[in-house]
Amino acid sequence: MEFDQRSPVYLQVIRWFKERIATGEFVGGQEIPSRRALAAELGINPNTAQKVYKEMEEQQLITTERNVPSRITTDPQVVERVRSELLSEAVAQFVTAVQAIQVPLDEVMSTVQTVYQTNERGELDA
Amino acid sequence: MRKFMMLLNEELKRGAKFYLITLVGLVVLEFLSVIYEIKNYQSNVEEYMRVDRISQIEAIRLAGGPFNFGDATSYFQYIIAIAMMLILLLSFQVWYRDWFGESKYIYRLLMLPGKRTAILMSKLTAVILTIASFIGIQWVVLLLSGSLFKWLTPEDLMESKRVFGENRIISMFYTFNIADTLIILLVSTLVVSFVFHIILIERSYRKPIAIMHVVMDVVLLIVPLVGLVYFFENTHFLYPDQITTFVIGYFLLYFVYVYWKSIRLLNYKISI
Amino acid sequence: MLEVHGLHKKYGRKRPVLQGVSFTVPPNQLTCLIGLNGEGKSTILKSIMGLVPLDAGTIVVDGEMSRERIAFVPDLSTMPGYMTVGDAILYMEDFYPDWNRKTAEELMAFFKLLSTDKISDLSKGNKAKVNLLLGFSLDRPYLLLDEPLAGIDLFTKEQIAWIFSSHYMEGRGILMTTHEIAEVEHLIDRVVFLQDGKIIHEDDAEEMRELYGKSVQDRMREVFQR
Repeated sequence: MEFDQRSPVYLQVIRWFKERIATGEFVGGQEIPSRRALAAELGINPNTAQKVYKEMEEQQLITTERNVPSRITTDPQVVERVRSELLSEAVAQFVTAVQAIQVPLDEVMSTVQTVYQTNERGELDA
Repeated sequence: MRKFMMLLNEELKRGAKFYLITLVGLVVLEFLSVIYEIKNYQSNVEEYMRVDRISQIEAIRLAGGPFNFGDATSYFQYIIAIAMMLILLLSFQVWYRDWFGESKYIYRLLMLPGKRTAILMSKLTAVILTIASFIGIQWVVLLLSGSLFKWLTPEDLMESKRVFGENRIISMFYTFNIADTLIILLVSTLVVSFVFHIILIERSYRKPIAIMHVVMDVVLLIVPLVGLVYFFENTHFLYPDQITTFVIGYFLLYFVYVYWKSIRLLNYKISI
Repeated sequence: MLEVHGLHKKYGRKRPVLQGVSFTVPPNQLTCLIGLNGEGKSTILKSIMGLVPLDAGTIVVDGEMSRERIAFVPDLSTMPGYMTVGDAILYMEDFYPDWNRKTAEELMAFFKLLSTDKISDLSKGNKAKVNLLLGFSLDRPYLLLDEPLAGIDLFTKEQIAWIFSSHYMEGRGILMTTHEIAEVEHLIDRVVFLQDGKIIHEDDAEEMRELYGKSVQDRMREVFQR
């Protein structure tokens, strides 16, 4: 996995998880790799993997029990929370970028609609 | 003790190639020199007989008298001197080979668990064992050379069939006496210890300071010794026997100091 | 905790290389010692290991002034060239009570080294791997690595970097010097900046990224700006 060096590695890994939880790629109750395996797979420091799991546990994204592999949360509220979190983040970034060039809101909205639809069509064709 | 044995094993392995090549070279050189001396004498006698038209007895006299074992082995002292030079070289090499080269084994040696004393002792022992083996092999070569001498030298040219005994130089140098050999080894140990001491100083201090240390240690050896011996001899404070004992005692004490200082350098001052 | 206090080192009459270097290497973290060329990074590592005598300073490892809990991986071979990889491993096993044969065998397999490979015949990358193997196979909680990625090819670098993501990192506090910061940025937990013989900054890498949005390389430029 490639990492942006200006942002914390553990947050980038958590985001990776969140994206997949939001899209449902990681299903509720699905087992996730051990800290060790995660570290080896993503090429990160095992300490960072440790931090990732701890943080995800605190955010209730995963459930951990002793001697049993951790699992993705089955709580649909959490999944919804993650989705809206990611959406808010993306929108906030977008809005900041767009406000920087001072485009009026309705122009922004119509452009968003056009681009969104073009992209979707592009994906269907591909 | 275990560390010492393992390090000694490693030192011997490290030097094995060099050792064998040198040994074979020196031994072959000695045998060849014996053959050469015999043939040379023979041809000298024959030449005198031919050119001056004299009898064999006359020719023998002109060629310096009958040929004995001492004559046959006259090159041995030079070869032994070469061997001693090589041993001296080895004393340096045994340390410096760990510093220079593609891999720096000295790092590993200094990082090994246990006492660093074992490093010094293993290298010292390796050199002394080499010396002892050279002495032993020299005995064997002498015995075989004796047979070679008896086999190759025409009887009428020989002074006597006796290989050992008469010749002063042979009996003095090539002693089969165990006590003498031990003394040779003891003296060698002291000399090699001193060489190691110099090497450790060189590896611990910058050049000017290192030279100062070496000079200081040499002065410490010679000046008090010479001064005190002079004093004792002139004031007749001690009997001659006692002076000898004193000198020996002083040497031994000095080398206790050298050993102590070498270990100190190895433990606290040495730098890679 | 590996603590280094007030290291002083002078070579001759020139300016001291180390002028009171103090920092800590926490257990279970990868600490990177960063400094420009010739600033004394290697000297620090070597003096911690007792290969270079210090004029002043103490080294405390988990409360004891003993080097037995530290292993050192220098940037050159420490075994005689005529030895094979197998010989080197047997040597280490003989001399070190805390040698872990299993780790050595695993690493040998991972690095694709043969026990019959003669060390002097190995490429630079493979020699680096052997060095790493010798260091990591000791069950010691602290490891000093001197330029483990210097001058080796991409694929070997990847293999070595993988070690830093593996379980071999567990239970180890690592102090590493390297110029190849970009390659290991994402693996570093802490950075210690060395300049003019002194430690001028110690930072937690993730904190630096989280609070200031700076990468280690950004911080380097900041810190070493004259």
